[in-house]
This record gives sequence, structure tokens and C-alpha cells, in this order.
Amino acid sequence: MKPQTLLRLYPRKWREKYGEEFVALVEVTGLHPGDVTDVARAAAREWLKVLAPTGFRLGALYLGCWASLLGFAYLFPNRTEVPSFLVASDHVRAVSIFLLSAIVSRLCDRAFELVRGEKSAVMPRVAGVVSALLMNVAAYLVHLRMPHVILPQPDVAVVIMLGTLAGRTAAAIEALSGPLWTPRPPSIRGLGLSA
Amino acid sequence: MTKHTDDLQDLGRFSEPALLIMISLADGPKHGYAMTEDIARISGQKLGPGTLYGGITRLEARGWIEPLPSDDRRRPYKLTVSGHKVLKHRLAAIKAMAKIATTRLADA
Repeated sequence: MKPQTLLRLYPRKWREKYGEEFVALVEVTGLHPGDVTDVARAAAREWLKVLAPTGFRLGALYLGCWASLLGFAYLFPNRTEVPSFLVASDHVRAVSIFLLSAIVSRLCDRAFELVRGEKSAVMPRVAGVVSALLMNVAAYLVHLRMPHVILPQPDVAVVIMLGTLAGRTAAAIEALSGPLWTPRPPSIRGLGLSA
Repeated sequence: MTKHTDDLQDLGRFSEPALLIMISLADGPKHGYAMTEDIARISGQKLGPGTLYGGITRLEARGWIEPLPSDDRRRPYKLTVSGHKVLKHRLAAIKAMAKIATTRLADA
């Protein structure tokens, strides 16, 4: 296999930055058994870095629209018409709750780490579940005033499962691809060393 | 809860290749091939191209190594000041751990 073929596995930006030297290295060392899977795994992680934040941003955008609609519908129940693109299916609503839970759990995790200077093993899961529950409660309150407005089915077991799963998924993505929200600063703060 | 003590350990299972790359750069700038050969010599491990460049990408993103200008396709990298300090800190931690382990083995 040609090095250029392996290089195509990586995202475009990565290829532009490291492509030439990567190809030069593989040309000199040649390909050994296991190198193709090694490169495929590394390329998959680079794709994850590109795609995961984009997916989260899209999810946040959709949820922002949805939350705005819910808020508006609750405040002005007689004036709200639900745009068709926001009338989501059950599956889309489930994915929305999942994404929101993942986002909130990551933010809570980062906030906790910033404030306390420690990582929390529990915070991502708790925050994921709490955010999923809150979202359902908000939707249910709107539903009381406007029965026709979209809302997720307030199934507690599903919410807890989705919330927990969201927290774990976000943590797993972060472990593979690096921080989703704030790139780690290149500082040496916290090491107890003078700059 | 885990105490946040060592930034290099934040790389999780990627910290070992990253540490090897930093050790390889400790005596001066090297390009990818020179790093691979050096790491194989000092650790007996041959890093695959994906692992090597995964480590380089992570370390550069954290500002612990930086590329040097080059006319060649092979771009050399060097440790930055903060990378140097992170490496020193990590090696001190490893040394302390090795000392404890050696003492315990001798006592056993």
C-alpha cells in the first residue's frame, strides 16, 4: 500500500499540516505488519476530533431552537404555531435529550474541575441525568398549557438511562479525541512549578 | 476523585507514546524518522506511524513541542519550555515511584 493511500484516511486539515512529513516517514520506514491498523486507529481518532464537536454544536443548535419554542409556547400559548421542522419524532427527541445531557454533563464536569481543581468521577453522570430530567420537566410544563406542543415522553427510566449514557459517551469521546469544549491551555499551572 | 497532579497523565492511554516522544526530543530537535529510531533504541518499542503522529499532534496541541522551519519534507520538532518542565516533572514522579518499588522489592 502506498503511503499516500494511508494518508487519505486522515481529515483534510490534518493532511495539510502533517501530510508531507507523514508520507516522508512511511517512505523511509516502509510499512510493517500492524502499521495499517495503527494508522487507521489514529486516523479514526483525528476524525473523531473533527466530527464530535460538530455533532455537539449541531445538537446544541437544534436544542436551542427547540428550547426557545418551548419557552415561547409556554409564555404565549395562544399565539404559537409550531414550525414543522421542529415537530420532532420520538427518535429525534430522544437524540436531543441525549445530546443536551452530554453537553450539560461536560460543562458541569469542566466547571467542577475549574472550581475545585479536581476531576470528578460522579459529576458527568449526575449532570447528564439531571439535565435530561430538567428538560423533560420543562417540556411537560409546556405541555400542560399547550397540549399540542411537542414534548418528550416523560419516562423516568428512559431519561435516567439516556442521561447516564450521555455522560459516559461524552467522557469516552473526550478521552479518545481530547477536550470537546476548551482546548487544554499549554500552561504548566497546577504542577507546582514556576514558569 | 483523582487529584490533578500531572498534565501528561491527562493523555490517558496515550501518555506513554507522548512521554517517549518527549524523552526523544530531550537532547535536541528530531524529525519523525529520527524519533522512531531513537525511541526504538531507548525503549525497544517501534512506534507505528499512526501512534507517532498521534502523539506529535497531541503534544503540539498542548504546546509542549513545536515544529522548526525546514526546507525538507521532514519537519523537525523540539521541546518547548513548558514541555521541558512537564517532562522533568513526569520523570521526577517516575523516579520517586521507582525508588519506592525498589525499596519494597529489597524488603520483601
